[in-house]
Amino acid sequence: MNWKNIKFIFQREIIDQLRDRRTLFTILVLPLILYPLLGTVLLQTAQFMHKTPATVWVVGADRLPQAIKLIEGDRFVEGLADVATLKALQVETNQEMSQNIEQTILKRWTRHESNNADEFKLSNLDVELKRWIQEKMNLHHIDVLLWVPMDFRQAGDSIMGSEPTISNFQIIVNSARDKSPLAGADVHRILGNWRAQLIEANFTERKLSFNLAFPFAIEAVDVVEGSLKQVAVWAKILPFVVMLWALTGAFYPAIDLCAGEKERGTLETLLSSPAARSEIVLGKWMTIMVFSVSNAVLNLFSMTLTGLLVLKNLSGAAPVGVISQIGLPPVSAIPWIVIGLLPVAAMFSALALALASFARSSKEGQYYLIPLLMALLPLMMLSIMPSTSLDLGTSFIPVTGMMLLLRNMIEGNHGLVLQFACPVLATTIACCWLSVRWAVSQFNNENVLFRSSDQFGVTIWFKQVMRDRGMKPAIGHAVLCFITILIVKFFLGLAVTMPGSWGEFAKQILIIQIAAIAVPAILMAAILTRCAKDTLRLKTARPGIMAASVLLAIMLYPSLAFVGKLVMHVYPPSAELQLLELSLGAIIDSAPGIIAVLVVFALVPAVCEELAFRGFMLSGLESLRGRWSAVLLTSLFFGATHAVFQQSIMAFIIGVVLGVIALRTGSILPCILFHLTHNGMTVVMSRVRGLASSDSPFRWFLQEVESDGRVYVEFQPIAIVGMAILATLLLAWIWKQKPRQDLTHSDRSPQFPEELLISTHSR
Amino acid sequence: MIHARQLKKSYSDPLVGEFMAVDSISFDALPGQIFGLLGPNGAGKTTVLRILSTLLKPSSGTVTVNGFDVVKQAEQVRYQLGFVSNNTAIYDRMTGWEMVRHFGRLYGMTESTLDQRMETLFKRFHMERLRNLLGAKMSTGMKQKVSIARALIHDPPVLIFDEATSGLDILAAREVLDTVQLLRDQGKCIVFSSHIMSEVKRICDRVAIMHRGQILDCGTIDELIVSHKQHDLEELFFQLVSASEQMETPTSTEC
Repeated sequence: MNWKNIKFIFQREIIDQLRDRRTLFTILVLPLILYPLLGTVLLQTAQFMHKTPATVWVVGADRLPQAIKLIEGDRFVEGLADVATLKALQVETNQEMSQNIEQTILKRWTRHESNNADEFKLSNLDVELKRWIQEKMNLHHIDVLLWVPMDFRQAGDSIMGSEPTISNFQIIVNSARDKSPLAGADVHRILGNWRAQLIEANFTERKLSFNLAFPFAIEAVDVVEGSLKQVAVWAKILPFVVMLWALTGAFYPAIDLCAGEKERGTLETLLSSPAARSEIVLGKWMTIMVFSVSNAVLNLFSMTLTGLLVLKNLSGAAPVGVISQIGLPPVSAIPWIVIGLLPVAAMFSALALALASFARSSKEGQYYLIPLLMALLPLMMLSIMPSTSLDLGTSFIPVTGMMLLLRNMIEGNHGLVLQFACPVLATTIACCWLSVRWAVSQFNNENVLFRSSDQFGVTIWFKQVMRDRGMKPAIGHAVLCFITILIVKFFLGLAVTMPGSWGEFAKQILIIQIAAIAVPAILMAAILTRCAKDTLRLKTARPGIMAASVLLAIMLYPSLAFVGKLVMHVYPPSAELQLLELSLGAIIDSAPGIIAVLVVFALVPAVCEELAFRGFMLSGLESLRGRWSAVLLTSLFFGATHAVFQQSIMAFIIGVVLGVIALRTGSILPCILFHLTHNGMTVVMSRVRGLASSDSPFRWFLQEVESDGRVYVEFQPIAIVGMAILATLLLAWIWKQKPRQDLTHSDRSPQFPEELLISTHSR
Repeated sequence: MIHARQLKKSYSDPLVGEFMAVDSISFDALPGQIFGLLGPNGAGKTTVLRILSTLLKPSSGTVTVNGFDVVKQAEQVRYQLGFVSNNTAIYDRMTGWEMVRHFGRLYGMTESTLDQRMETLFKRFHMERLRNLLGAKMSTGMKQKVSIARALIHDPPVLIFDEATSGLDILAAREVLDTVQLLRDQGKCIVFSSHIMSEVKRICDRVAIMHRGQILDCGTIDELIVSHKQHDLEELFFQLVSASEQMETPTSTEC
């Protein structure tokens, strides 16, 4: 690596970008003028931010008491709500119109013989009458219709002296009009306050203490000071906005530095220079990162400064909704955000660079970067979800972990920050490194750099697929199989409902396993390759290897169960998931016998999943640079197809072992046996009772553990360690087996670059 | 200086599948000579030159440039050559001076040597006007001058010109051809690809006629004309290409 070359390329790219007016405007000028402009607009519009006037029609206003008034003229009585609310609600009590409406409604109500006028309830209206009322409300611009009950009389007369009856005031809103539900809520509050006044008057009349109606008061206290509450708000907003700007800030330079250079023909000039591809990538990556960070930092400063000025001005005026609760942005948080921004911006820049290198023109580059935004946005959004907090689990999630770390830094939770800083930084740095590696590999791929304009059509594609099919599937085919499985599983998942019996549950599992997992893999192997049998690794294996696979599954089971427990500890299942597990557990318990459970949960998944993952997908991915990459990617796919995250982690680990067995033996039969045994062990362990009791011969390596009121059988620590050692020896023995004679990609005739296959399929 | 043996390069084409852009060609280009690659568009000339300049890796075969293998010693090969093509554009937002200087730095030249060399080149090619002119404001001829200066900045023993006069007006094209001849006279090994007969005829010492990824014949222009009993290069070219079109499996000629 020649660092001087990286420096020269970096310097040139920076100068080049600084001379580009579009980049300068988007990255440097826009952030500086955007927020002051928004602030000015906010200040200008703040004066108009008051409650929207709404009209309230009162039907039966003559039935309202006069002693304690609800309405005074065309307004509700002062004191029943704040001045702004009372001012916004115009009350209409036109006797003639209101009687007209009342009579029509009652007439329609009493058309049904069963309906009594005294028992009239608006909530029981039929659809036709509701529609008529809605039309009337639209016609007369009525936002709220307040129905005074027929049996409601002056409070003092009706309630006192006799057993009081409860009358129903009814508030009719038209939610098709935006302000109607809001005005309805205001009227509801006003009626509540007025009712309190009536109660007080009645109690006073009867010489009773008003406190009788309220035996106790409720007071909610927030221990967080006002300023800290405001910090909490900014702690969520600032990292989100900054990361979003870092991502968008990486976009334009990445497109210009890759697709733009290709378009202008300067990339070829650069590639023919002595600078190595990795040096070119690093120079460009650093440039993109500078602009990504600058964009985010400038936005941060501009937003903070404008926020300080605007909110200071607004806080002097009347409180304006949420703005008054936000408070001023915490300036002390800025250094933390900038520090956290650096590794994330580095990752965004590398991802943008790698994706942009695919594009042949700036326009095409924009198409490629939109999916990146769509993929990263959920990770950013996750960090501002109220239920998401910084823990060991979330700290391993790229982007989310860093944003949660920043949030806690700003909030001053330094203990938590110190606890999880290492996993967050390790994850971020690892992702960044992988992204840079990807970008370098893109620049080493001549199919990416010198991609010519592809002609594409379904017929051409189909002919090409049939013509180019080789003995084994291509990487693109493996990815396509994985995506197909995900999509079919998703739609089947939508179609099925919560099973009511064992039969239904078994049927659902069998359909998903066969239709979503096995069938796509078998069909693809038959259509896309010349030898489905070789692709799916349907070969016999030596009896010794078959036996070793079964034994390995048994020996490895305690360790995997232990890791599973750890996973559950790090990522505890949600209450809903636990409930679902209990319900499904009850259904499984109702199965006719253990054989049926073993067939559904062990045999069928073992066959179907091995055909798809260690069969078709691993065969396709084997042409990746390292075989470990193929095993890891297959395992990642295997994990991703499991619906529950905790299961996905375990599936990934088991997938790695299965991948190694498949590669070293060249057959999926040992994998099926391993898978069958592992799943079978899970079924058996959940059903055995008494094996760990004091008089059991198995008590030396089994123990009973009680959790959540249920008793589980687990392995003793000594058993876990001992069996893990034996499993390692077995795995080492399998590893030493002679790898099968593989069909290499040269057998595929003619050869077709996988990058093109992927890009063609994706279009 | 350049030795290519059984060079092959295949691409995948969505329409026709495996496509042999260069099919088992062998040739030698020597110092003090201009080796011409003459062929119609799509003959495989650019692919051969991209392999020589290490932009592409051959599917099979070997190529050495000044003793260095283009696959195993790609970095050393890049120091040995200067590559000019109609695709090797210059940066729009850099001046002629900055552009040449940038590449000189990438070739590891010291600042003093670089300054000296740049002054010589800018004077020799009459590029004083281009010193402070941004690439975006240059004419095609000006751009090609800067491109040649960029390729010559490290004084390489091998120069590759891939349709370097394409898109140039007659004066600018003549200037480029004069420069190529001047460089030949300085002892450089030059590979010059073109589909313009008159240019090849005028400057090339030896010519390889390419079609469909293969060399149909190779030699000095006079040798070729005599051996194929034709009147001039143009007739010779048509005769070779037509004969190749009629053959089902034409074979490449070694030269």
